[in-house]
Amino acid sequence: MDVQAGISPELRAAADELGAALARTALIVAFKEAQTRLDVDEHAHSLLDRMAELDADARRKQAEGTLTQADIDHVRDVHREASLDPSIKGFVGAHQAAAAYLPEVNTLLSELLGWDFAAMAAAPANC
Amino acid sequence: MTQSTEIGPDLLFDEPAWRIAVEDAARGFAAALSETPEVKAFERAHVRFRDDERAQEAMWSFQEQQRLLQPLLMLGAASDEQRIELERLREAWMTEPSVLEYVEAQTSLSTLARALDQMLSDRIGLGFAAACRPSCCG
Repeated sequence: MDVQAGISPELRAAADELGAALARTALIVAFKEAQTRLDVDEHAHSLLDRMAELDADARRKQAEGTLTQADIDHVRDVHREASLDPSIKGFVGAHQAAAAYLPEVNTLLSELLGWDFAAMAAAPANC
Repeated sequence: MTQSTEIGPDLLFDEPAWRIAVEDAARGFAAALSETPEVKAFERAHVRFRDDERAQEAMWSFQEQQRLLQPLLMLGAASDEQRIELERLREAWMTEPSVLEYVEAQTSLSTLARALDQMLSDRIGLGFAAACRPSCCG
């Protein structure tokens, strides 16, 4: 069932308004800019791809019992390189800052509603 | 492009204005949500369950038994009789009419909340409810 289709126009407008207000905040604007910067940064993408490949390879080797200290050092080096990459570092920082603000908004919503909005949204449908 | 994104003073310059705008919008959102049949049904069911002594007693009996058996359950050392009794108490609690009504109302509200969360998350490009979950890493 399409639940969104059953949402009243008043509630839809209020949700749109809240979404728009959040999207205009400096933290979300910075997050979206950082995301765009990362999206177009080929070097950062290749670093992330390499990191994912090395992580998968290390997990496989660990399961097989063939993981060496040199493998671990190599994974650490690439992780360190990725953490210092300006686009990745900027994205991680902006994501953390934006994500840290949202619980404040949820606290306000929950105080107004008398129940935890985010927890209700996260609860399984048939608990 | 190698420029990193920092939350600099220029972005924070109008912080009070955007915070106020979000707070106003949150108030409007909460007010509109409070008027929905899902929220009204949930609030009614909550009051009914809270005031239902029989259901409260059934919940207490189950939780007390669960608390007592928890160490044995963790060790896999609870007897079949103890497990059956715990399941019987859970069934007795979960089949109380006020509990059934509460669970149904909560399920409906949860479905609505998830749809609204999706709308908000789509707008900001970040999972709203997901960001509000306690972190497993502290």
